[in-house]
Amino acid sequence: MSQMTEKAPEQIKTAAKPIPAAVGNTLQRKCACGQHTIAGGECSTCSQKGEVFKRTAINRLSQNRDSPETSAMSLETLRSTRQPREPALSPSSKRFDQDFARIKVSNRESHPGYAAQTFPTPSPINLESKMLGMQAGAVRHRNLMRQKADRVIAATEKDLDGGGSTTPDIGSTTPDVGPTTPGVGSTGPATTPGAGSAGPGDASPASATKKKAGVDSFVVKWKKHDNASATNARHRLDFTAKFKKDDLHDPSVAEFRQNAGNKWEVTDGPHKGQKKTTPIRDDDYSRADDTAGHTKADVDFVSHDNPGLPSIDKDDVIDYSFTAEQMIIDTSDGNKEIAKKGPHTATIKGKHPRVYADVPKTL
Amino acid sequence: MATIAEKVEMVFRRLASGNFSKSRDLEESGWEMQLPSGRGVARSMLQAEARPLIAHGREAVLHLLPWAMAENLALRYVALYALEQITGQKGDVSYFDEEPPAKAIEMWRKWYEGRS
Repeated sequence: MSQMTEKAPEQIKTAAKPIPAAVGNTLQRKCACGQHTIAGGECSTCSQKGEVFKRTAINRLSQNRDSPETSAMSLETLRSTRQPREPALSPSSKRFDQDFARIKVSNRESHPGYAAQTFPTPSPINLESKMLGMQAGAVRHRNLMRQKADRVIAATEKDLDGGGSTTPDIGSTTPDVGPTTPGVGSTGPATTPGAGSAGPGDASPASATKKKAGVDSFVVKWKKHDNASATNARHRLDFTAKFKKDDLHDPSVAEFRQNAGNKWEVTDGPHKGQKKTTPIRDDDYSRADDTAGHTKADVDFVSHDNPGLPSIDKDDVIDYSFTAEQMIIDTSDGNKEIAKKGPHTATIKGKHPRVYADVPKTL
Repeated sequence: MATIAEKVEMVFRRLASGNFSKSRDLEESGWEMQLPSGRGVARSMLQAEARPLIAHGREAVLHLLPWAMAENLALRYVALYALEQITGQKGDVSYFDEEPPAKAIEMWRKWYEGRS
């Protein structure tokens, strides 16, 4: 096949947010407590209150730090539940002796087999400057909100006076936090706007019935991989599903999941001693893995899996076992399982020619 | 010392030429795609290649967004997977859809700006 060079796509430019210049000699603003301050600064009283808010949030975090719930929660959930005036916390932030690096972040966080992320602990040298920077950021954030509010008030007053101008959109300075991503056994806060929401319902305004997911057909086929060879020991699983689409059913709320695990060991041969056990866990499959490019609005779903050991030696003696189950869940109904195949286990054992047991199998 | 932008670029350049960060694992799983070099690669390998990008956290998001529009679906998947893991937000994407996931990219861009 011809060598292709992937050109780097253009950088997406993020528009800078303009901050209006001060009018006159000095910009005067009212602090939250009503005192006038110069150039948008805070009075000492409000500055102290801001510190109390920060300490309260951090104390809350530290109290829950070692609980299973906190260790299983994503950092994003913790951020989204803090006080609105809090500056954005860097994953490497370390304030007031609270080490956020110990908080693990993961996508399907409730399962021990999920890949967990930890963030590096920052250098102590930068700690003070980070603290000062974040305090300054909090002040800038509050000032920006006040300026935007002033513009809205000014535009509204103009409207009332018959100016007829459109009220400017303040916009949001807090990140949107969508609904929880649906997942089997997942308790985490990963968000999936749209896909994770409770049922889009009927487009027709006249219908109040919330549509559910429905399955017309769901088949999982296991077999020995077509390319299996002396150095390539793999299974092949093919998933096909057809979802219902009618007055009661919406295919976009049907989601696919696979729980899978394996255990293998090379007992003899050039790779002798290599082994690994992966407990059964959410394999992170979803409708996004549709290999035919179907969208969630489509009634069809097609995907596949190729588990195994594709780079072994012909003289390797292997003992490989793969177990998986597949589900269709209804994201409009609390991720209720509406169809399931398996669990099924298939093995590959020995030296070439190896024995592929429990395949082919159609579930 | 390379910047995060340079590190991100290096990962995708290496993958585009068909090279992986370490020798191939004995075990693989998932569907398969083709890199621009024509070399086939399993989903598990692409996820492994994305892990150093994920480790950079928020700082990598802006540099990953252009690669989320890559023509090559394998390179695009690495960016999409990294963005999902970093942000915790899974957009309404289809990894095998030729059309770039514009809405998801916008969602991640807003996530990044919301944390500026």
